[in-house]
Order: sequence, then C-alpha cells, then structure tokens
Amino acid sequence: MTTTARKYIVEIRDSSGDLVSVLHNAYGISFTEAVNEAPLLDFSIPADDSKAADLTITNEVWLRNYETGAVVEKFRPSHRRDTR
Amino acid sequence: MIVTKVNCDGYLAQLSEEVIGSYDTEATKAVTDIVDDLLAFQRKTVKITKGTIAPTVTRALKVDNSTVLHALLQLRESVGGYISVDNDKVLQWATDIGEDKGQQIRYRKNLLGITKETKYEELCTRLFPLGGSGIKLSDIHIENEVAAKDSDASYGYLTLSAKYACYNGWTGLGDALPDGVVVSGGEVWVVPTGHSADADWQYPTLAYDDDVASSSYYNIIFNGWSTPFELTLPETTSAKLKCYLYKRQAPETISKVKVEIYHTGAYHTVYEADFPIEEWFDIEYDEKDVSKVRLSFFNTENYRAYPHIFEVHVFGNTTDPVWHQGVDEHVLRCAIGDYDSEADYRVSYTHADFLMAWDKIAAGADIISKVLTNKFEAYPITLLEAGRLMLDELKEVPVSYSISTADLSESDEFDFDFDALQLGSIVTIIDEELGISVEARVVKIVHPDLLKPQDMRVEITTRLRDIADVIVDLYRELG
Repeated sequence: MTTTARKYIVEIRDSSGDLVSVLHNAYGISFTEAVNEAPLLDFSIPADDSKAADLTITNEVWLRNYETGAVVEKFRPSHRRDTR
Repeated sequence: MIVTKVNCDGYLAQLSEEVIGSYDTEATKAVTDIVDDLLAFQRKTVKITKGTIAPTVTRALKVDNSTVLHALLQLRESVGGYISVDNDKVLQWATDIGEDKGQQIRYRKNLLGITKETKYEELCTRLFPLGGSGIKLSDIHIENEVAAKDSDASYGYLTLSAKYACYNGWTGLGDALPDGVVVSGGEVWVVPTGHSADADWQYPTLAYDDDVASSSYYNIIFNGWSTPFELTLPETTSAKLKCYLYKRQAPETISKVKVEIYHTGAYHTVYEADFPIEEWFDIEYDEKDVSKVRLSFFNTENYRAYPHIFEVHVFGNTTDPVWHQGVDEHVLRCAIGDYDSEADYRVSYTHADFLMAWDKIAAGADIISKVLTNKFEAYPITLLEAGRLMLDELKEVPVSYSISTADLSESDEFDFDFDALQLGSIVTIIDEELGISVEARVVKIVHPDLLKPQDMRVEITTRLRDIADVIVDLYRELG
C-alpha cells in the first residue's frame, strides 16, 4: 500500500462561501456518510496553528477533493475540544 | 502538544436547530406539501430549500415541540426513502439512491477484512405498532376492501388483500364473524330462520326448511284475507325475493297473495296478485334492508282453499353468518353452496392491533411478536403505513457485512473497486458459508483517515436499519 499525496483538503469558508483559510496541518481527517443521517467530518489540528482561530460557529468547513477540485461535502462545526 | 479536535456536521443537521411548536396536517396531505410546511418553520437567515421530493403518497402528521429534522424523519418512517441536504442547502428526498453496478463480494469465513453479523434476535413476523396517546391499529376501520377469493370442495374463502392485514377479534376457525367484520358483494338466497303465525297454519316450520317438497298450509275455511304468516330472517339488503306456493285448484277460489316486506319499522306491500302454482316466481322491489316477510292469501269464497307456503327466500346481502372466521386473522370462509365465484366480494373490518407477515408464516413457531412504540405518531392511518414499512424490513433476519478495505487489500482474492462505491449502492454478497447470494445495500462508508484515502470501512446490510436503531430514533430528542 503506498501513501499518496494529500487527496483531500479542508477549507474554512465564511457564510458567503468565501475562502477564509486552508487547514494544511489538519490530520486524522475522518469522513463518515450514512443513509438518512448528516455526514460527519472529524479532524485534529495543532492548537498553535493560527488558522485554528478561524474555526468559529459562523464559518463553514468544506472538504474538497484536491485532485478534481470538487467539493465533496460542506459542514458546520459542531464541537471543538482543545486539549493540553 | 496542544491539539484542537474538531467535529463537524453536514447541512442536514441544520434542521435540528429549527423548532416546531405545533403542527398538524389534520387530514392526509401530499408529502411534498408537508415538506413545504415543515421547512416554513425555519428562522435562520440562510434556509434549507426544497428540492426534489420523489414520494408521491399522502400522509397525516402531527408534531408538537419538536425539530424540523425530527418531523422529517418521523414522516420518513411511514414513507420510506432517503433524505439528504446537498451542498447547495437543498433538501432532497429520493425513493432510491445508489446504483447496482453488478459488484460482487464473496464472503468466506476465513477471509480477513469482512465481519459478518447475523441478528436473529431482530426478526419479527408479527408487529404491534403503537402511537402516542394510546393510538393503535384497532382505531382503524377499513371499508369495502376487495378480498382475494378461493375455494375448495367444501368452502369458499376470502383473504384480506391489504399488506399484512388482520381483522380484529379473531377467535377461531368456524366461529361467527367478529363485530365490525362485514362481507358485501356476494348475494345469496337467504332462507328465513323463524316464523310467527297462528295455529291455523299447520306445520309452520316446513315453510322455511329449504325444501320445496314440504310446506305449511292454512287449514281452515275462510273468506277474505287469511291470517298472515310471518317469516323472520337475518337483516338482508335485498331487492328481490322468490316464493314457491300452492292453492287448491278444483275449485280455485284463492285469487291473490299479498307479500309484504318489513323495513324501516313497518310492513310494505311488494306484491298483491295471483301466483303460479308449485313453481318459483320472483318479486322485485327497491333495495331495502329486510328483516321479515309476511304472506296473506285472499279467498273469494267461504271455502277451505288450502293455500300452501313451500318456501320464501330473500335474495341479497346479509351479515348473518353465511361467512365465518377462517383459519387465521386474515381469512374468512363460507359453505361452498353459499359461495359465488363471480361475486365482487369486499370486506369491511376493524383492523387488529398488529400486522402479520403472512408471507413468512407457515406454522405457529414462525410467529415472532414485537411491540414498537412511536410516541410521536398521532394518526392511526400513518401508524399503519409506518408499520407496514417496518415489517417489510423486520420480517427478514438482518445480515450486515462490515468491510475493512485496509485488510482486504492484503488479499489477492479481491478485485473490487471500492472507490466506485456510493452510499445506497447495491452489492451482491456471495455468502459461501450459507451457500446463498444476497443483495445488500451500502448504508455507511467511513474513511477513518482521508490522508489514507484507500482505507475505508464499508457497512453493507440486507436491512436498511435494525430494530435497535428504530427504538433509539423513536425515543431520542433531536436537536
């Protein structure tokens, strides 16, 4: 099994859909789809990453296929835990 | 290291933040119109809009102090299908998703990467759905449902045609029909069951023994009208009766018979004229619910004229037990002599409190009963539709396959394009352990780490969801 270059990227967008930042340092990105349920996106980011501050309730999180450029899914942050 | 962990929900979850104080369709309504009503409760600036709502059925819905999402999912319980919100914040409701691209997975016990789970405890073949405030299926009365006909040498049979239907009050084979069960469409000649006549009428019971070789007769000399002979019968909706009578012919002094039928609280004359001797003749009238027939004979001379009544039969539809209970709660039967294979039989009945998966039951051991309560369901008819959808799934033992592509990729036996899998895709599972192949649907796809996009966990099941999920969903508070 080979590790490919990053295929997906996580973007933070404002309520108008304008790009706020790209979370290049996001890792452990888990994506779940299930019938008749809202899709889920979970990930971690170093807390000292300045872009973590863009994760607010008014912004959205978009998952994009970097190879095709297509937006896979759009999300709203529901929970954030800062662990020290 | 300080780490920020983030959880995000898709747009569908937005509807769990919109509350409905009170909503009641009050009558059945098209699902698409109900969706319009529910989405109208949104207060956010950027709302979810309605896209394609594929189901075309009508339903009734009552919601109090709940969220728009919960109301939609509750509605989906009785409609089926797949609800989602796309990236443009448009609500879509499809009746089918995914494709069947002919993909196959071969399951073998010693094969790593596939976990198979068979939940025998999830099987149910008799379902008792309950709604809120004690609502149950016996609150429903079905009118004039077309019944399936069958017969053998001894009996005619009617089987309820609605899916999983059962009539309330079944007590046993051959018992009288329970209250509320009425069969219409099959008209028969009804033989009276009793009489009232004075002692001048000899052998009165022979006037209704269903035998034209025996009769009752008036045994006195009389002039003018005889005393009446009254025949009682089970109330029959009829527009015709027939008589088999006799009078003395040498000399012939009886000039006419008067035939009256009892309905709406009184007797009404339907025939007053001469009559043929020892042959059936019909008398027709406007359709009435007849419970008695009375005959009187007119003698023109003071003479012993011996009018005879061999038989009087009423043709129509009676609730009296031509029909009886059948072998179970969805069958009725009658004697073959009372059965009309050409009749358009319809059954009206109060529904039993349960639905039965008749296609899965061959013996008593096959009956596995479960109660399912949806405290949010306020309409019995919707409870019925939801119960049917639920029993469609519950009557099969659910088998789920959880596939880890990371493990499977180590196997040379797999040549499967997991990237082509979509939610809802149909996959054929060739289960070598059971020696069967089943069609199953992809219900969940998990990418544990998108930095390793080739690693996925796929859940494929023969049932859309199991009863444990249903119970949890019905009781949880969303939003």
